[in-house]
This record gives sequence, C-alpha cells and structure tokens, in this order.
Amino acid sequence: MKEAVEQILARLRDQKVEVPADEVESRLRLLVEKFGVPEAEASRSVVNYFLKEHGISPASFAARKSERVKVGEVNGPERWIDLEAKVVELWEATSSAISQTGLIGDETGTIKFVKWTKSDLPQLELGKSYLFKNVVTDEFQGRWSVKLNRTSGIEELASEVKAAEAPVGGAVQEMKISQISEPARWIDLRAKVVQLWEPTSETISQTGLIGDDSGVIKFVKWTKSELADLVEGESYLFKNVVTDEFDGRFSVKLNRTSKIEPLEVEVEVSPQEASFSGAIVDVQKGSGLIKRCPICRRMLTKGVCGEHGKQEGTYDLRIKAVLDDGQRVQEVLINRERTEGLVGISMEEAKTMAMEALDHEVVKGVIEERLLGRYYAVSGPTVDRYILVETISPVSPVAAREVADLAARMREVV
Amino acid sequence: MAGFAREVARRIFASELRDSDLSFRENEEQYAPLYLITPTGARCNRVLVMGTLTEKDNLGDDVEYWRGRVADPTGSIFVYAGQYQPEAAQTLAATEPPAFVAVVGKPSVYETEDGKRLISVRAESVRRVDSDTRDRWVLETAARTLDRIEAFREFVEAGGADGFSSGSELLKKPSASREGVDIGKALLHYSPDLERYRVMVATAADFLEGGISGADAGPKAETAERVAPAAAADWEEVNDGEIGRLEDLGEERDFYEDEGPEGGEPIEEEEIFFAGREKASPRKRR
Repeated sequence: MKEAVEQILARLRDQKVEVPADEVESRLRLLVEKFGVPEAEASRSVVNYFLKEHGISPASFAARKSERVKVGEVNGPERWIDLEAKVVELWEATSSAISQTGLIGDETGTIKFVKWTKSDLPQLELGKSYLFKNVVTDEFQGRWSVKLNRTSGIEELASEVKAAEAPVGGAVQEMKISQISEPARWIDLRAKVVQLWEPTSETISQTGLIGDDSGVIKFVKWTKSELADLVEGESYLFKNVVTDEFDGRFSVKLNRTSKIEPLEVEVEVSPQEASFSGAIVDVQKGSGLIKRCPICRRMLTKGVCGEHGKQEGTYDLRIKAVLDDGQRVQEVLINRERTEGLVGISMEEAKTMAMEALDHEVVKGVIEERLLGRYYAVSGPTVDRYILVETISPVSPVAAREVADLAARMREVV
Repeated sequence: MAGFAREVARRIFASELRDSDLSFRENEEQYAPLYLITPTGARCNRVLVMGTLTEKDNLGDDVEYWRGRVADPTGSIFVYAGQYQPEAAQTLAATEPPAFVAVVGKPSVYETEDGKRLISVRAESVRRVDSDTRDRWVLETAARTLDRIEAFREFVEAGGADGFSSGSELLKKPSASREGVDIGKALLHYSPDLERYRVMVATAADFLEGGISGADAGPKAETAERVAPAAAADWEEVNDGEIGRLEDLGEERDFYEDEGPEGGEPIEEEEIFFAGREKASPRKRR
C-alpha cells in the first residue's frame, strides 16, 4: 500500500499536482479494502481522481507520459509506453469488454495484449506489425501484459517487426520439479504423468501428479486451456506452465498460453520415498475432523472455501503433524484411513464426539493426547515439505543393544 | 508462509539447560527469534524435555499460572504454562506428580536482581508419556549431547592446531560454520569443562543401563520412582518463589510479561549436581 501511495504521489508530482499523502492513501484504501478493487486498478483510479480535481485530463496526462520501449524492457505495471511490435497470436476474447487479445512481439520477446472494446481501436491482423502508441502495462501472476484503451493509438507499420519466441515477464525457464520454490513463475517442465485424479470441478479438465527425477508435483489443466488430454504414464514437455502455491505446497497450472508436447524419451520419475523417525512435537491446525470443499477438496474455514466460497462441505479426518529428531523437523500428513488406525477412532466416532462436544476441536484434542511427545517412525512419498504417510508405527522401546552402543560411544569420547 | 522454517526442538538434559544463560537474537527485528546457547554449543529456540513431573504449583492469583518441575536423570528444570499456553496449563493442572511428561517449549532466561540468570522452559505443550518414551528421549538426548561434545572438541582442536588460542580468534575464522560460531560463542562465554558434560551423559547412560536390564523385572509404574538420586537429594533445598519478568525465547515475549504475578520474589534455584557433589566443578566465568 505504501509503495502504491508513493507511486501515485510521484505520478501526480510529475503533473505538478501536490496532494497530501494521507488523502491519497485513504482514497486508495477505500477502493482496495472497502470495495475490493485490485490495487493497480485502484491506483489508476486515484491518480485520475486527483488529476481531474486539478483540471488535468487523464488522457492528455497519459499521452505525455508514454515512452518508446522494447517488449523485453517492460518491467513494471502501470507504465505508459509505445511499442513497435508484430501480432504473433490472436486469441478468442473471453469477455465482451475485450475486443481483441493475444500476443505481440518484437526481437526482444513477446507480451500479451488486451484491446478493450471501449477503446474503439481498429482491428489488428495476425502477422502484421504496428506501432502501439500509449498503451499501458499491467501485471498478472508475475507476467506482464499491455492494455490498449481509449487513449491508445495503433498505426500499421510498413516494415515487418521480427518477433522473438520467448515471452516476457520473467523468462520462462526449464526447471526440475524440486527447483520450484515460488508461486507465479512461468516455467517449462519435462515430466511424466504419474497419476490422474478425478477432476472435482468442470473448470478443470485434468488434474493429478507429474514427476521427474527430482520429485513429483500436482498439476491442474484448466478446461479453458483447450489442451489435448494427457495420458497416464506418458512423458511430456510442459511449456509455459505457471507455478502456484497452496498451504505450502506447490502445483503447476496449465492454461491457454501453455503448450504440451509429447516426448519420445520417457522421463524417469524417482520414487520420492522418505522415512523419518522422531518425536511428534506438534499437531497442527487443520488436524482432526475437518470439512472439505466438495469442488476442490480444500479445507473449509468456518464453512468457507478460499476458492469457492460458502460450501456445505464433506467431512474428513486427517492429521498434520511435525516430527522432530532433535536435528531436523519433518512435517507429515496422515490421511483418514491411517488416522483412524493410529488414533483408534473412526470418522463416525469422531463426528459423534464433535457433535456431543459441539466442537470439532475436541477431535484434535484427542489426537494430541495420543500422539504428542511420542516417538514414531513414518515413511511415504514426499510432496513438497510433507511426507504423505503410508506407514507409521511407534518407535520400539530402547533396546539393551542401543544402550550398549551408547556406552561404547561414551568410552570413545574421552 | 514462505521462508518460515520451524525451529527444531533441541534435546538438552536438564542439567545442561540449567547451566545455560547465554541468549541472543540474530538481528534487531522485533520478532527475531531469541536463541539460547548451551555450554556444549547447542543453539536452541525450542527444546523437547522429558522426565518426571515431580511437583506442580499454581502461582497465579486470578489467572492460573502453572509451574512444574521436570526431572531427568541429570537434574531438573522448571516449566511454566499460563493463560497463553492453555492446553499446557490444563495438562499441568490435571497431572498428579509423579508422572512422566513430555514438554515442548521455549527456553526462557530470567535475571534476578543480583544478576543471576536462571533458566526455565515456557511450555508450548505438556503431555503425559510412558516410561518407554522417556527412555527413548534419554537415549536420544545422550546421543545428541555426545554429538555436540565431539563437535566442540574438534572445533577447539582444529583451532589449536592453527595457532588460535581463544574463542574470539576462532570466531574470526572465515570458514567458521554456524555450528562453529555457536561453539565459539559457547567457548567464549562458558569456557565449559567438557568432561563435566561427558560425565553427565555417562550418568544418563548408567541410568538407562539400570533401567533397561531391570525393565522386565517390575511393573511400569515403578519406573516413575527412577529419578536421579543426586538430583532428588537437592530438591529439598529449593525455596519456592514467584517469577517476575522473564526474558522469553518465544515470539510472543510481550504477552509473557503480563503473565508474571506482580511483585514476585525471584526464584532461588539450588546448585546443580548431577553426578555427586565432588564431581561438579564450578562454572568458569569471564
């Protein structure tokens, strides 16, 4: 918020408009917090509001600000720029507010563009090169785009602009799955489809796990992407997919700008099995009797799914716990079946307990009672920082041999 | 939460914890974690302590504020739980000593008016466990302590061979790892007598040997009495007291200040002997 206020003030100062920072901030807050306007949009609106107050037309202001840049030089949202670029791709507009959208590019890269219906600009033709005047940059999920609005202009160029392949906005880089460490990165992956799951929503055409020799990761292929169906066990080059993060776990999303190429050579998927032995030092929030969103299986918080809003929800029983051996910590996820076996209560019993106590937390309490402070050995596949527990058993009591080993070591450390 | 890594719960015997009074923050930020460095160079923001809950008291007036004493084969340590650790407080309230407990918590250092620094553990969780679990902890803690003693020896020897003579010079070694730095800090602050801690581990090993070989002889309940004789002998000398302000090793240290009853007297801690009085050497201070 602070940064946005600074930017607004700077932009206003460029126009010799001085406004107190708190006025800018309160107006921005009102839009963002009360009305849920995206910050970039709200910033624009605030700038325009104060410019208008001072009798400056936002259009003329914008026109004066634009600068000639290359596609590869786009490095921030809300910049008014001129571009000489070629229309590389035209996509179907998803909304009547958009007259045309697609990719334009020059020798430094390509960038998504959106031409608003309201802009009343002439139609662009695929393969032709234009001077795009006074377009504004935008950002979504770490990627840049340019918007063509009423103050923008388009002039067809006589000479063709050579367009590069690579899109702009954090160069797309081929990665190993284990290298994925942040959301909203556009990457290429060579991976094998390890598992396909039943999609839980019509907006998802396919979902499951893909893997390479460094690990496995969940993927989601959106229906709108209109990509060909993936086959379990086949290997593909996944081009231009975007990383996402939920609950500390990463996934990749395949959307309309992504591409899938079948690979002749099979990608080796190493079974990312791990085992760990230690004391359970924490049973985390979200353990016990929980409700999941029927669409996406995420846990509901107070009956609300982060993605799908208020939901009736379906019950599940699970444990998120932390094992600790004094040197490392290991987070584990224990599913319903194994939780039932480990804690000795079925989900039906858990429901009854919760009903009687009028509190779901009572189940978590029982789990803590049984597990906290005790030593367990677990094994199972790893996903991100978790072990998805397949086997869990109490560590056996200290054996005489272990004590003898300790005594022997004692004698060495003199 | 990207970049957030949970702190490991270090395994430290009560006796070593009680010798510890060096704490520091890594940086000036408000929520920078506070670490305790123990004499053998363990850096802890969190500990797992197991042993016998030998006594418990509610020190609070309006709000319950529980203190328990947990004894392991080497000594004992106070654990505290108040309104901000409701589950831990509840367990302490409900548990009749003696009983085996596992305590996960943050070490706290409290400085008395005469500058004595006393250590306790602010419990995140307190749970009853069985003797097998406690034995497992003793074995594990012995092994981790030996690891640290070995690393300490290696560090000092490596420094000695290079002509370094003091901890401060060792700290300047460009190659010093984080572990090395922690050991350097411990060396500078405590000049520890490593033999003392080796003997402490030996005490724990003896305890296990006695317990394991005779484990089949009697019912489990008897093991509750198997606390260290040396530590037990000193319990009588303890004067109960209330706590004042504690320098807390947790992130919520501001809360903690509200928990201490007003105008509390400092805790008088007994001297620690874990292997007989004659073996306990006074700690060197700079």
